[in-house]
Amino acid sequence: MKIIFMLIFFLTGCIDVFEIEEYALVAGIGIDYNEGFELTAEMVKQEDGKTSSMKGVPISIKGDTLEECLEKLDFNYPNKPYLSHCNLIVIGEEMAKRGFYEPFNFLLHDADFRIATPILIVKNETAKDFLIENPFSDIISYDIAKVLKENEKRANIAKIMSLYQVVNTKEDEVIVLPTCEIKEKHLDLYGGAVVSNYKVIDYLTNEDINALKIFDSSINEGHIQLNEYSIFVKAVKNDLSYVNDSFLWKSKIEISFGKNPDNYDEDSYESLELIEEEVKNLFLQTLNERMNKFHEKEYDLLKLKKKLYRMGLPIDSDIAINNDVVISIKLSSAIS
Amino acid sequence: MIKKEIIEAFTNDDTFILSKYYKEKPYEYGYLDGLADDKQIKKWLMNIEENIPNSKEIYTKEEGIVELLDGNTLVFVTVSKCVAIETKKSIERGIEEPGNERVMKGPKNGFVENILTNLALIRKYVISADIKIQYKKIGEQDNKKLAIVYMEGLVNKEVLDTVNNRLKKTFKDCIDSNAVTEAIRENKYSPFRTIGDTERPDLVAINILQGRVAILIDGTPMALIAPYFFNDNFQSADDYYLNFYYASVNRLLRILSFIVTISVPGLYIAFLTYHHEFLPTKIALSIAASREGVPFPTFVELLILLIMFEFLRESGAKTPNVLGTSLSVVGALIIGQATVDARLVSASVVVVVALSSVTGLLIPRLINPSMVYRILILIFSALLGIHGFMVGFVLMVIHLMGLKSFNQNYVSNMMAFDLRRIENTYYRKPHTGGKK
Repeated sequence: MKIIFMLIFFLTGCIDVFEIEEYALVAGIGIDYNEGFELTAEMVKQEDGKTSSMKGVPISIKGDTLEECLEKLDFNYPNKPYLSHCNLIVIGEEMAKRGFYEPFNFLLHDADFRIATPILIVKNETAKDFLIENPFSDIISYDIAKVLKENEKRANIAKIMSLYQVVNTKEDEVIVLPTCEIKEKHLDLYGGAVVSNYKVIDYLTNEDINALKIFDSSINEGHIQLNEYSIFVKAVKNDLSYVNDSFLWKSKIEISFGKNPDNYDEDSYESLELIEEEVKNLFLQTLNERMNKFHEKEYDLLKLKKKLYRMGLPIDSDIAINNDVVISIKLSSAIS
Repeated sequence: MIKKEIIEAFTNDDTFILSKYYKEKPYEYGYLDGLADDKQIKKWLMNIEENIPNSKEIYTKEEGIVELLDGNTLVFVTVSKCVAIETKKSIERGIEEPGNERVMKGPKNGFVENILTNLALIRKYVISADIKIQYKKIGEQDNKKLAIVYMEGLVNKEVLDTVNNRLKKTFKDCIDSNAVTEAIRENKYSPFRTIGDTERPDLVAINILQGRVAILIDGTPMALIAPYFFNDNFQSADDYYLNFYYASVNRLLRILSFIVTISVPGLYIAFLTYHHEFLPTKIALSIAASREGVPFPTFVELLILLIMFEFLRESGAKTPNVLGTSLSVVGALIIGQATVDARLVSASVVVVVALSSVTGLLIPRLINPSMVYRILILIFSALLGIHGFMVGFVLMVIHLMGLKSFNQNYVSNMMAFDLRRIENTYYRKPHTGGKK
């Protein structure tokens, strides 16, 4: 018994442990495909022992597999890359269209990698360019991850999807991932990317994302720009029921709005009720347009087929969806 | 013959004074200089032929020696008989509040070195004929008195019998509270104390009213309490004199501080050496930045600082009050600032050791076990990570579960599922005043 007890301590492997400063913490990784995999890791480097001096140092490595890329990265960088604190996975346009099951499955089974890491798709660009040519912040991966998390329940940005959620989606299931685009050195977190079978099949605009979020009650509050009106959506109460072979979407939405001062016309300030009616109609019209657009798409963005499947009903049928949306205006600051 | 025997017993002792007093006939008397009061000797000798109260006839050498050592004077009447006259000099300090057990509210008196004064102090708090005091003499050379104090009817008979049985042994060395504690306790090598001690008579009174036994030793300003349980370590004299909400919160804080003081260094080393992924990213970055340029591994860093703190604590305890301030300035500057600036240790380790040390000082009765288990858990965690931490912690719990104090389970009060048994362990129940 004594020998076993002593062996436990002599065989612990405590001799070759790495101290935390011997690791290079990886803040985020970018995955591209260009005749093989290209991994870009944003390493955190500090210069004078203070967190304020920390900077992200992106390093790009090519290889046939993601595993090979990580091994090469380990050889080429003085400190051992440590993936546990990776806060963002960036997928380049090419990789997104080709399909990312293989690298995601590898990362999911990597002992160090956090399975709850969020994913961002870069539109019209490579992940490498996004991470290397970043003029926006010291450690862009951490900042983008923070923005995504903070704005998850707000308008305009798709909900965060983490690595394990993406890998565990069913065949033919449609998910929406946040996307971004760099337009003239301006970072635009833009709508979302529709993903099916681990491939991006379509992109959605900010308006699409807002309508989608209102439909599935995942928006708490947020600004939506409709024509000259800046509409603030405050609360959404939804109920989706299946009645007489069709879905009925009942929704109560509270909004408040202001008018863009550039387009403000004093003569039109005749009746607040008239303007409120106009905004209500505009909001409802836009919402209906989006809903019809989603419904016409081949992919099941509103997840109606999934709901039918859960109810034990045949999913091949052409499903109709009827709206019963009540919009109430609260504390309108129009033309104030 | 008795006179000759006593003189022989005190050969080579210059404090033994043998003198003669002439009245109608010469009276030879002896006493120990310093123990006996000269004024009282003169007063009694002047009335030697009258009936002297509190005098005692002595026929043996042993009795005579005890009387002399007690400060009394022996008047040698015949060859085989002498009379002991009470001339004891009062050598005791005033009753003061004990420095180690100060309270915000409540009585401000503490025990002194005289056992009779201490017993009187206890009697002042428990005014009852049921309070029983039994004297014992347990020294081979040392004839010090020891008193066992308990409440008849309330005392746990099993504990009382165990105390009496264990005090049957005799002591060769000088008898003080620590010698008695170490001799009569179970689990002699355990860092946890299984016999309580206090310098406050009010606490002794509370304890004997709870059915416990107090042991007082002459010459020691302290009472031992048996049995003593694990939860008693977290109690303070203040608890009984302050609002029960405040007292209960303080008691829970003390329990938490014991867990913190033994766990924090172990957890820190486990997370920093083996489980970096457990740390939130911001903390990981901050610690990595602070460790940049430090030459030692985290384990060595922690060990160095913990030992330095023990040096400081010990020197603080031994330093006169006048030098205390300089010591704390030097300690704080050397450990807190200079070592971090010189990159000998990282700032985060200073925070960990400071937290562990400050929480340790919150429970002075558990300083020894905290020190032992803090280091033990630290070593286990350095070897096995979080698993080592669990092993160290579980070993401590197993040890605690096996401890007994006078055949009573040491942790039973804290482990009980019965609300009435834990009511004065984790929190203090308000005084209800009993039935009308």
